[in-house]
Amino acid sequence: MDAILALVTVLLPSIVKLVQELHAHQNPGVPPPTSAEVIAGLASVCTSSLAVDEEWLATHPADQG
Amino acid sequence: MRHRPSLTPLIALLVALAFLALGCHDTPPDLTPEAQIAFQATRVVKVLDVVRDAAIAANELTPPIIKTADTRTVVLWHQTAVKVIQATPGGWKPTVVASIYVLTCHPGAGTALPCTPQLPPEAVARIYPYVGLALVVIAEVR
Repeated sequence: MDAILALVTVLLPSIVKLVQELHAHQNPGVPPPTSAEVIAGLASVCTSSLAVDEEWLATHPADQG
Repeated sequence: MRHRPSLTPLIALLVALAFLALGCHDTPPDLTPEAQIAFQATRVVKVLDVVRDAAIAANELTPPIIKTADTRTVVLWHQTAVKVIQATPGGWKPTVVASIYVLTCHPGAGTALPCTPQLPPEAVARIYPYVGLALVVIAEVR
């Protein structure tokens, strides 16, 4: 399979998820988040995002090439 | 040399769809100023995740289309960028945009001055559409 096509296939779910999350805030049926929820959400997103980095770096040590 | 059909239109379509979603999206009006900043910062962290995930996914292909060393560069860049956003939710923008320019020399992130990217050209090419998307989201942050 073409490498680019494979890459797009792998990434498609995360792009769709991102678009869905962005649209969710516009849906009139969904109550808008409170300020406290938004602030807590940022902390949560940062923590989980950094955890992915840490995990990848731990499983791919620098001398592995 | 085998002919490989270009998938640039497909990638452009995906990015355009994301632009469409982003273009008509505003911060909820009833948030405190601090929460509005957090709301925009959260969106930026998520789109930076897409850039990082693109590099990791490209590295996991067989054969990898981004080297592990270059993927590490992207992951370390992402880690630093998210830590900066986490530490300064209202003041991260210049630092993160500059870091994107150092990483990729993307014209949307910098000036017309000559630039040598931290990543090799082939790695920059793989993540370029996602970096462009990230820069669009960042540009919306006031």
